[in-house]
Amino acid sequence: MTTADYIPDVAPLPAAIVPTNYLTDKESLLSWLLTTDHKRICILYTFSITAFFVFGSAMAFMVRLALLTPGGGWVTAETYNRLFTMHGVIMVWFFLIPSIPATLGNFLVPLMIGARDVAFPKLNLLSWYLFLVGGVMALIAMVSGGVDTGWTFYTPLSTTFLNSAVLITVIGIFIAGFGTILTGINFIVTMHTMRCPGMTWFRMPLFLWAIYATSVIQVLATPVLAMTLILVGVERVWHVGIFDPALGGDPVLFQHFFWFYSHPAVYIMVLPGLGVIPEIICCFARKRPFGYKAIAFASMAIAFLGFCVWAHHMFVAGISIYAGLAFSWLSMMVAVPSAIKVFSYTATLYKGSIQMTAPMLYALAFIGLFVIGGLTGVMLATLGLDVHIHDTYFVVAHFHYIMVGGALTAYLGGIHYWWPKITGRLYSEFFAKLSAPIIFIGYNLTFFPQFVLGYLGMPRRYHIYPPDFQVYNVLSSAGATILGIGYLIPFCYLIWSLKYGPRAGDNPWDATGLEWQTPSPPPTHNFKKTPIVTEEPYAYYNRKSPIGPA
Amino acid sequence: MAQLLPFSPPNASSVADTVDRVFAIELSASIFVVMLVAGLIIGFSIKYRRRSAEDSPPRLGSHSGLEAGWILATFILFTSFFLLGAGLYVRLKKPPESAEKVYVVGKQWMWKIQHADGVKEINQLHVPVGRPIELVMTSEDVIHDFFVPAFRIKQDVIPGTYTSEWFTATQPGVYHLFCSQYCGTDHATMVGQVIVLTPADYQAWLAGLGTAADPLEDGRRVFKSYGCMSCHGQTGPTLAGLYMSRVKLTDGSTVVADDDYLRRSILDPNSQIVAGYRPLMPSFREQLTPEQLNAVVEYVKALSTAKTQTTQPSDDGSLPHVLPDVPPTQSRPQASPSRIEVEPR
Amino acid sequence: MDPRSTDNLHLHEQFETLQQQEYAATLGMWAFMATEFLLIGVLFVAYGVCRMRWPEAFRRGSSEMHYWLGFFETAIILTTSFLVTLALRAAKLGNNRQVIALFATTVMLGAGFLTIKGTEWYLEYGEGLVPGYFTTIPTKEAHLPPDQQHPRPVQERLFMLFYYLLTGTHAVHMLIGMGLLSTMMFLTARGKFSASYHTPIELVGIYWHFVDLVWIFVFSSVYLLRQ
Repeated sequence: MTTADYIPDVAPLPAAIVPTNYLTDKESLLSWLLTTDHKRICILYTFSITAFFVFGSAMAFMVRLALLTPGGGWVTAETYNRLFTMHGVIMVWFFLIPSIPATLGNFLVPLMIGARDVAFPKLNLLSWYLFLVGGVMALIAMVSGGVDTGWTFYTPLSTTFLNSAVLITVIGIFIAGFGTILTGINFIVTMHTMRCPGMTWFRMPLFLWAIYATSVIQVLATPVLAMTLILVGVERVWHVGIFDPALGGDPVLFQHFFWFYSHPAVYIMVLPGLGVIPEIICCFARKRPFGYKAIAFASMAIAFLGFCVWAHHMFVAGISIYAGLAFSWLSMMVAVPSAIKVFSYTATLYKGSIQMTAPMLYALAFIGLFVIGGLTGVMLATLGLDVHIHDTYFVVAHFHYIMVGGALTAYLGGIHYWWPKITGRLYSEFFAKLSAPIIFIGYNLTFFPQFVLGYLGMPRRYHIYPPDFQVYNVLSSAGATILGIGYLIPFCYLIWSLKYGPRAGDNPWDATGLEWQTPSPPPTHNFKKTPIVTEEPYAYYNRKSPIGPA
Repeated sequence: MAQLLPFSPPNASSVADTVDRVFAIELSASIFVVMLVAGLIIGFSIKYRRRSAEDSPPRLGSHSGLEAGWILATFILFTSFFLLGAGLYVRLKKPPESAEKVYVVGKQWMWKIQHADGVKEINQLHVPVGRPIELVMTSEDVIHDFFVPAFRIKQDVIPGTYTSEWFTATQPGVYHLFCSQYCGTDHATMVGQVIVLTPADYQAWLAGLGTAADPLEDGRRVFKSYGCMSCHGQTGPTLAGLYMSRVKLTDGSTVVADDDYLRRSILDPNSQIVAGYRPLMPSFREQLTPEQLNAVVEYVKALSTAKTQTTQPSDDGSLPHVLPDVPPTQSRPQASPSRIEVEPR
Repeated sequence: MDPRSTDNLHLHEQFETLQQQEYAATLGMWAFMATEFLLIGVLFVAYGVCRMRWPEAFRRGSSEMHYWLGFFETAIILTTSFLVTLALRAAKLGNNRQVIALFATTVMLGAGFLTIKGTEWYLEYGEGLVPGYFTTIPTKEAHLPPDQQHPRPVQERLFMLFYYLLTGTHAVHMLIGMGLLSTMMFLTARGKFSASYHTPIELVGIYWHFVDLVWIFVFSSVYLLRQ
């Protein structure tokens, strides 16, 4: 399949004959703000989530600075509490949940199935605006004093006892949640109804299976969050008593509702990353994935089982012993499909022809870090053990391994891998290969000591702590500094490449997948002719041509 | 006792070693898996590195045997972890019959502790080695959590209901007590110490506190000031011999008058009315703090077992000084879940 | 160029065929219904849990509902569902005038429903049932001596909270539905739909039936369990 205009190759094109593409078609600000092109919406999201990531990281950095000394003093207790709360709220709802689906997902879903756009392009734009409104409200909350409930908003603290900007934050999350729901609906319908001829379900790239599973979770879980937030808002304003024991209510009921959403939410955050990895690994090992169907079904299994495990956040919250046993076992079971994926990805490397490009470095790092994160999750699901490590830094380390070591690493890997396609430019492989190890080292130095801190007994959300915990806190904060520097480097070279990077051809990595069969960057309508798919996915055995610049 | 793991808090309770052992098993298995995966990744990346542009990997067939193998292996491994943890958990949730009760009330941002013999402490808990202690806990405001890393125990402390955890300290020393459920601004200062003493030292400490507090003084005061005597024994059911007796209710059912029953009767009397009586008792939910409730429940329990079974006021209108042999905690009617419901069913 | 029917004014450019577009639109509406189901579902689960824990208080709450008004509302909404089904049939036959007439009647009946609902809420405010303005002694017993009063259990406030959340959420969705129906009426009058293309009308129909179904559940669980 080639486009009629020119023969795709790896040599950069002279600037003069670059045809118009989705970036250059119309260039007014309004054409961007009112676009319905899924690719432009990807760019809009990328700007917004990057901004939120910067805010969220700044807060994390301040938290780590504050924790350098056991006695605190750099910030007051109130400020510290607001910092970690806003860090959580921003990172969870305004960075991680949208990240891969709203950026890479938006860009790639139609391209990978050979469609011109998503099923509901106007709803797609609406999703971005809803996200933005929600995010702005969260920022307003920050500026008007901040929220100090913790991102988990446990009652009755959040409903009866705190005077911070809880209501604005809750409304902001509520609104942004509708954006997530619409995106989920959009992707589900697109994948069901707009696959090009020959693109059967089992010829879809694994990235799409992951996005599909994520969308199902988004559609089913987010409404629960919406209603829970309404209940919190009602309680705050009218003191009805649903969560207030003095009026006959039950504070633990909130936890059930909150975690019924929030546990599937963490799978929203990590499943797309699990879908990016096989794309990268198969391309740079020149092999099809080991166990395609197992990986595809594992995505769906994780989505389903993810709804069945919420009370593992509540083992010491007063649930019955039987509930504890049931949820512990189910939590073990949700680890099984995750393990299937990890082993399958590793086995894909066997007898491959492996090239260690920057995206490949991120993908391989993901596997190791996700394994650590996943196994520590299994430890947390172990009942008798969880009693000791629950609500300590062990949990903090566990979820950061999954979210930062997993989801964020996959996001970076995906950004690098599809950068040529999205922007039409190649980034500097040298700096990319330089920053990946810095990030890896900084990351592990930040979060590994936190496992130790947790087992030693340091609780979460403490602005001061006993001096015996200082050493590990210092190590962690040092790591955070290195990590911060590490993240700045890609920021620089990626932006630099937009103007000065060599132009990319259609398929610089010589990868399979329909997105690589169209120019980089793609024209507004993606394909000149609707593709027709005849071969299985990841048919790398058919190709002998070399990959692009090393 | 030597510590099992290098990076762990002191092992100061009867379950600490087991918890550490479970962790050590899981940690070893995890290290093995991580090394395996990392090793394979690094090994494959080196062995199968791209050597030339003409490299073309073989098209491998499927290996469903291998897939089934690792699915089964992870299933078995994780189920074993579950079983390891489950057994320990059930043990952690079942206090021994002879456990001595200590009442804990959490509030922003302090711990108020009252021993069965009336001794009160703030942010500190003195216990002797070797005695099982059951903490019966509630909160006055938001959800807190009573966490003692050295004992490997932790339990949320919830307003409006009672939760419990138990431990047997095995080693004298001073150990951290943390609140580990975020409870507001000064959450990080809601810390204290658990001081474990040898039995001799513990007696010495008790003696050093001065005249032993009458453990029932507070309860007696509450009982008197709220006029409980004006009904009970006349219009209301008698309290003599009540505790742990079987009570018939108006709906026909029969219940055992345990601690839960006593609390519920005071907080929500109309939820369980004794057969033959009318719903006249008001609720004291608004009037009593959790400590007052604990104290008056202890007093009613004492009334039930007093040798002098008088519950009539004496001539001068004051209540008899009932100083019974407060027996060790009654045998538990059932294995208690860690959360004791007080709300009416 | 891509093969597309040239006589198709309704085909959006991301779709290949009108059939694909209709399939996508319908699937999208059902996916949206799934989210609505989960949204309302949370409320019903919370209501159910609380009902199990405080059965007396909730029974008392149900008994204070104006169930004759509720019956009337149920009759109205069932009628509207029937009318919407008739309208869909009319649309399939290309009978635009009937579509407009049926939808107009539905909108009016919907307004009637909401009026009765508003009346109920007003009455409940007068009886001291609104959370936040809740009186333990019912207003109509306020003048009686204490031993003839029947004070409300404290958890009845929770019942009323659920009542307002359930009926309030339902009312909001009903308003949205009336807006959608009016839009469909307007577009039909402008000639946008025909026997061969009336997908938006079908989708609005699905939405309206869902609103009706939710009401049935609300009515049964809130009004009828009074014994």
